Amino acid sequence: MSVDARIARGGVLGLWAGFFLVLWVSGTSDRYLGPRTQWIVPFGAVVLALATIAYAYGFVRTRRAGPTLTLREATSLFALLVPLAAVSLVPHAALGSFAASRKGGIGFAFVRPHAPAKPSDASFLDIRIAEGDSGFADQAGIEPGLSVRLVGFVTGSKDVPPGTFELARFYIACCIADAEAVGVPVAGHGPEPNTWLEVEGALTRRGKRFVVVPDKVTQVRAPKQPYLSFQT
Amino acid sequence: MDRTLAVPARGEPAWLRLRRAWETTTVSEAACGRLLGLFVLLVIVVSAAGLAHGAAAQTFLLIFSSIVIEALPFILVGALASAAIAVFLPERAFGAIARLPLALQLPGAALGGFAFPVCECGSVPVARRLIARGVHPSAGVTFMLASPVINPVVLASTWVAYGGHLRGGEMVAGRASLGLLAAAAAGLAIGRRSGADLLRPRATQHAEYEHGPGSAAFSSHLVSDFLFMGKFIVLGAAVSALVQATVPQSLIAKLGGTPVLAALSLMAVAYVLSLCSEADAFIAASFTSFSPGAQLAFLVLGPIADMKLSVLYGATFRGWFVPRLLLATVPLIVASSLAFGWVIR
Repeated sequence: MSVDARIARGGVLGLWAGFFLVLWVSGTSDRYLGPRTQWIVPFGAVVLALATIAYAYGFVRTRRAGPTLTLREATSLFALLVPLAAVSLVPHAALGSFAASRKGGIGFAFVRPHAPAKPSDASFLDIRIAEGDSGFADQAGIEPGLSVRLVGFVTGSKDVPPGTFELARFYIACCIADAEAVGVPVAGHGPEPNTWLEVEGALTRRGKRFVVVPDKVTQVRAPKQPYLSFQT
Repeated sequence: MDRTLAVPARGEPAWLRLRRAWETTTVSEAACGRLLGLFVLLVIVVSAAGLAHGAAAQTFLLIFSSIVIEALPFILVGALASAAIAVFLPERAFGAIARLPLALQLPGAALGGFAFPVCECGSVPVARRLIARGVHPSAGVTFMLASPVINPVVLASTWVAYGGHLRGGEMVAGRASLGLLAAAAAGLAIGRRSGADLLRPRATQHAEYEHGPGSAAFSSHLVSDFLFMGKFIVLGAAVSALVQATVPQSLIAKLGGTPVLAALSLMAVAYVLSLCSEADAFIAASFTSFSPGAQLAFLVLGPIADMKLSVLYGATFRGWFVPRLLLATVPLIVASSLAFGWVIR
């Protein structure tokens, strides 16, 4: 007996509606989307759910037989299930040192975040911008000797001053596809890449770069929200 | 599975016979259940074997799923608008628009982007529907390419990304004007043919819309458009994620030796990254080793053509659409971005 294509279409639509509802209710959408696009999840959940209900209502009201599911359409519908399978394969994963080697190594001269409330609250992005923008550095109070506290992962990047290792966080604007790794060198020998550390210490200049000379390095668990955002 | 309808013509090539079988073979309930079971089993095996836990695989899966999660609701918005146009707008309205001279349709379509603030994924089904209902193909293509560049949300994010008064005004003006110019040029170059010559006919099953009460027809159009476009977004996202997970971004960024090469390099980056036009300004602004002109080229090409869009265009328009789109826009964007860089230096 062949399958009514409308049931298969409605089923896939319903799965996507359910997935967006789960993302919304569980609050896990920030593992994929930035703060600018968080609204997409409740919007998608509501509209997809309404579309599923409307489609199901239309199916129930239409008494005549619908089109049968062909191999071609079945393939298309299975393709739409692949992203759901992808999410289920890496439910708690986050971009790490491998991704940093692919999505990093660029500058941030025009991205101007608000200066931190206190100089000691300076983030990875603030410190990187202050390296090339003396106006921002003055405004934010980022200078050699400043005490900072940074939580990030070790990248294994070689693009750091000798005798340092890179601690980094990913910054995102809309979604992980636009993520950029922003790293700050820390004096000393770092542990294995992807290790999360809390580093407290003072900034010093080595050439063009600010380097953290640590007073205290503590291995920590990855934070619930591993990404920071380009909030400017 | 049941083979139906397919009567192979004598001397037909094997690939055509396979294609016909793929399009006409119906799937039985038992076969559908077995395929679903196989799919779930495959996911369980991949998970249990740890194949998805390698760094490269994780990076690919995360980027892939995030692009799809971000893009699908915009596809849904486009499908909503497309279904509303198909069901609720009377035929005479399109007849009136179609009778307008192209000189009026084109700027109207270009500026229509202000009224439709969604990213590039959402504008494709709307443009398809407009062209199918009689709007001049040039105007439809111009609308599709202009709306993701000149909509207010995109321009506001560009202004913010470039530090507002620091360089925001110049980049917003450059992006809006070059975006409009490129969209109109592509519309004129590509849309000279009839709608039927431009649009790729859909497979039969997707055209089987419900006819009846407005609400049933609307939901049928909505779901058909959403599922049709959705699968191409999935494919495009997979290609983009694969490239992002394998090719270091800095490798492409190092290519920008001369102004022309710099613009072309950043356009290649924009094509590969497949970013949402509401976010791409933050990435463009971070390419500080490139001139503002090259960054503008990145900002204008990205919403017009990227990997995921190329797959979507390939499904919506004829095969020649993407090459001609690139031919019509890339030289114009390179030349204009160089001129922009020279003016603001």
